[in-house]
Amino acid sequence: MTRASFPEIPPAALKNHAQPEHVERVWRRLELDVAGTPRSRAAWYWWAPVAAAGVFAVGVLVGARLQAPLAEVAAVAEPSSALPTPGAGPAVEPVVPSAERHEPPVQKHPRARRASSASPTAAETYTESYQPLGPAASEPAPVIDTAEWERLAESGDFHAAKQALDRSGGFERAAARASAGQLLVLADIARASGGREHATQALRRVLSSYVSAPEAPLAAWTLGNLLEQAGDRSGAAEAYATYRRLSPTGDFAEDAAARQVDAALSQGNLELGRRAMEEYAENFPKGRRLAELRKRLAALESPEGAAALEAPAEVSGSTASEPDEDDDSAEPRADAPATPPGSAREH
Amino acid sequence: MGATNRSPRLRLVPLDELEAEAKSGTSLSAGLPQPAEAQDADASSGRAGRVAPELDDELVARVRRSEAQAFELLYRRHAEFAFNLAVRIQGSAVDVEDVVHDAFLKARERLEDLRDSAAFRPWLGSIVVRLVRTRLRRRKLLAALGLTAPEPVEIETLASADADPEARALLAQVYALLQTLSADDRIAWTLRYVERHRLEAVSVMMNCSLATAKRRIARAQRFLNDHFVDPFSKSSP
Repeated sequence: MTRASFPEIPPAALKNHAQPEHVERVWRRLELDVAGTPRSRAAWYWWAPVAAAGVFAVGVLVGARLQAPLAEVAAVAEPSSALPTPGAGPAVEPVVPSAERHEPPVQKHPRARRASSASPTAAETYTESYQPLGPAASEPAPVIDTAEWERLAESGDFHAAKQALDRSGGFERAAARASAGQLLVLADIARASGGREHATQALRRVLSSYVSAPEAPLAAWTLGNLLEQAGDRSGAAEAYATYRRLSPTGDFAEDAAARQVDAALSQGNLELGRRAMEEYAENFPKGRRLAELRKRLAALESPEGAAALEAPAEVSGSTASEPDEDDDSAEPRADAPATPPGSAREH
Repeated sequence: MGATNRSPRLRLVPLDELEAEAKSGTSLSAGLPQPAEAQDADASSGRAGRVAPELDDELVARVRRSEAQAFELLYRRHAEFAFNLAVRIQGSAVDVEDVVHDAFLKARERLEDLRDSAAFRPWLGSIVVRLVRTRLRRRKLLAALGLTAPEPVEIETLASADADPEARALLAQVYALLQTLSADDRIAWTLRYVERHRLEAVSVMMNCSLATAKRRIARAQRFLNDHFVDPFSKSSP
């Protein structure tokens, strides 16, 4: 026996499960359901606020019960000796000698205990007049493990990942020591929270510092998408060219070649467009966007094309609107099912 | 069985080739048939005469106008895709009718959320994936608590009647290994290498970024590479 190779699963070996009787049986159930319910989700709008109110109430109750110990942990986690007392104006609470203090009887969280040993006086003083942590608490201590944001992003919770990232020192700090894979995760988090600049920065860093890493092609592709959306067509074209150099037979090689033509034509650079077009046709003679782009190039080369060059065309083709990248304010794939690029083509 | 008796349908892919693909994102399946083309199930079920060759976006528009017949057409067109997807990522046919039923019902209810009407199929796929993932996680939790037994690999469910013994053994082993993975890794790998969707489609159906989809596939691939034992190799004892 060997583990030297891994077999491919032949499609013919897989059974087709959509037997007519199964399909019919499910349709009969669906028919009954459909007949009995309107398609709209009107009911949803009724119970959703009620459920939200219920969840909020439970949250308030649980929060009230847990407030004291949580306050202890949150407060002690701040080691700054110049920590202001929120709500008490800019003045810093005077440090009370430990011998004169009344030790609070609350048992501390293990992590909080470590923090308190670093600067016990300030921390415990702050504990005595606890207010929720606000923006005044500068230079937050990295009490969250750096891997936390990565784990949260991995699980798809980009909002929580962003919060964890901020708590662990922020984007810059994480990016400075991130691996190529982590930089891709950081780019995802940044995109999900509307930080296009940070996303671009992380992806560029993959290409500058880890160009031979397996993550580099995907970084180049994603960077191309981001730059294209930002209107930087020449930057996007460069990124797509980088993708093709790094992964000439990759999953997106054809799209990258097509988008290079797209970008050149949109810039009105016919010479570059022709060259990119020839390259696209040569490498992908059955390219999905070949006909469309040829037509566009021909239109731009015609006498009427000058007018078209005056008004740059919209990014054309379904491949240009990648939902993953389109909406930086949403999770990287939160809206994915809505407009998957070329997914209609590949199914 | 020696290597010389190997079925021509069972091609052994060198480990380094698979690893290279997992690392670089290049596609081994580039030359292979792409995921099922949109097929009109009505045509194969003898209803071809009743079905107008409407595109998905037209049917979706009609369903949005509450035309019941359009929903039936949409269902019949995509039922095969949904059934096969559910069974293959789940590894068994248990409750598959419920999954397909719920998926179509949810799809109908949430049709307003579908922005690109022509992309109904991948969108439906993402609903099926979500339902199966929830089910897999629940089963895993119950099994961990000892409240239920792990679902056995149903090779008869997965393999076609014409599949040769090698292919059946391969499927049985791969699915047994996949069962030990997390639901996300397992689904991502199955979508990529069993259902043969491209990375983009995997990320769409799993509602995650390309990078995440790729990481999950690579993680599952590494595990399979490490644990898969080819019982038909030349070096078999």
